[in-house]
Amino acid sequence: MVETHFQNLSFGQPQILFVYPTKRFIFPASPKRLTLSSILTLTGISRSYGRILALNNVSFAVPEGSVFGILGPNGSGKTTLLSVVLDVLKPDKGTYEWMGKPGTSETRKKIGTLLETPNFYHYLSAADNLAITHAISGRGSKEEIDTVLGKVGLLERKRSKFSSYSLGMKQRLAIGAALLGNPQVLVLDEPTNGLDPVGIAEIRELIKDLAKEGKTIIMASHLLDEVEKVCTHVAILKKGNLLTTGPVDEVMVNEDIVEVSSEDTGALLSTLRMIDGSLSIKEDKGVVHMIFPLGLADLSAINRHCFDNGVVLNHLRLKRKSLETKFFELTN
Amino acid sequence: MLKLLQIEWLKLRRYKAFWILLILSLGFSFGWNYFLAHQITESKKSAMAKNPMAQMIPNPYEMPNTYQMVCYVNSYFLLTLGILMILLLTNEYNYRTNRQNVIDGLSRTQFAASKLLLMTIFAILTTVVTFITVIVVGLHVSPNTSSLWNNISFIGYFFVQSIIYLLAALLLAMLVKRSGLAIGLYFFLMIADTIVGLVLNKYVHPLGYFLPIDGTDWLIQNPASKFLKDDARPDQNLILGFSVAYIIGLGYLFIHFFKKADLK
Repeated sequence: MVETHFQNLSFGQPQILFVYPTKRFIFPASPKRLTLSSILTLTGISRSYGRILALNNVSFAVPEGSVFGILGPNGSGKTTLLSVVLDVLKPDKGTYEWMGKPGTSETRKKIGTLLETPNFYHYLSAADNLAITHAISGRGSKEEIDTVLGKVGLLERKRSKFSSYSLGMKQRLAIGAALLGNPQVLVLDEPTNGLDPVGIAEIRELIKDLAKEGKTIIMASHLLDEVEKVCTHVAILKKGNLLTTGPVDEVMVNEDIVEVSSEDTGALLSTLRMIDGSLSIKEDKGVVHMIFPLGLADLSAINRHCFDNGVVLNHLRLKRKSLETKFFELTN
Repeated sequence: MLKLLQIEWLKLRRYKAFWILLILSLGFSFGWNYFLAHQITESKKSAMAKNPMAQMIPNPYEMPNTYQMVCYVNSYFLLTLGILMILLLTNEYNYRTNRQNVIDGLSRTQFAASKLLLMTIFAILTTVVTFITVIVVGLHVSPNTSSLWNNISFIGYFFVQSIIYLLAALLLAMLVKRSGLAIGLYFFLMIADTIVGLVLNKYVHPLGYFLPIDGTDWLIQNPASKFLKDDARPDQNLILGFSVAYIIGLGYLFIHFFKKADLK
């Protein structure tokens, strides 16, 4: 299908359209912040459940001030990894450090955490449950409980029992508990689980706001879109193995993809094959994808080459890989 | 320590099952003894009116027997507290708040210790109520105060027994994790331990006196059983020593298991 804004592509004036994915939110991470020490460092963490190796020698570091996404398909070890660093599970091998020190109950007090499911006393109200969170962690104050409940939209229901809450409300309360006392580090495991679209957008905004305040957020998710929109760094896990880790931009972009199409796909393919330097050429539903090493795709040259060989293009576009593409590529 | 108890209090203060089971247990500990003592005393009085020889019939609530009788009766109400203890721990597993507590900053040892502390508070509470019951009922039945403190060691035995009963409940709850199953097994364990104790005493006397739960039952025997005298019965203090050793061992096991376990 020819897109309207490509229709004026003519012989005399080859137009190059450079389309860059703009939906991703990239934080203006200050260099100062990123050069500081890491908040969490994992060194060679392994953990099995019986015969199943849930984590295999995983090592990486979470820089201070980053929004760090831990990605992976279901069962890849995301929650196991977070459980290990929160002392819920004991690792078989390996060590971890929070802020340069081995993790203890004292370090956990300073971290706002939502791990896997909202865990609260069913017979207590939201306010009473948060009073327990406060008593254990020392984070926040009695007055702050109301503020936090307001932030997650539960203030009107603060006296209702947890058991009467919907799934989304339970999730909101769990996020509220993590936010109590405005901790500098947050661990959020699938934070948008069970939320409606409005709730998802609210949480996304909340995470962006927190990141702007300089907080470090460690987030596990299988929702790539979510991660792409908010994360500055990622680690991708598959079957317990760490596939890759680093700043989102570096992990995602390591190739140029050029999308090309023309009326005569056959002629287009044979013409494009004459061009040197491409890593691969694939055709899918009339659109040809040419892969080049990063920064080496020259759209003008491609356009001129095709035109000189009598092939008129009706679509030409430089694409960066979406996290989703990258993810499927890595995990399949 | 106070901090841990304060956290437990926040969990308990609005938990209906807690208040119901606690009041039932403590209420019956006093009320049932008072009722029973009153009935026995009245029927003895009316029997004596018909035949003065009836004075020979012993009244288990007369001082200083009151201690043994009240402690014996109240050992049954300990089961209610045991059920409460099971509920309080299985709730944590059920709601996964055990892991949340740890995530929020309790150490695993602190979590286990807070349950042991709670258990000790319950044991103290029920022992105090038992002691008050002994004094009130004893004075009601036999206004003679000369032997008021004669058998006070039973109060100590009762405290040890209540700790053992509640600790068994905690351990079962930790191993089984489900409330229904744990409560079922708790009753089974209580009966099985008594039967094993009797069987052991018949064939390998006196081993039956040294079982963890049954041992404390021997410390506070049914007052009626004094007619079935066992001449080779081990010394009361030896049984007590074993019970205290069991408490230390099982308490250590409880903390140890919790330190190692995955918090699922």
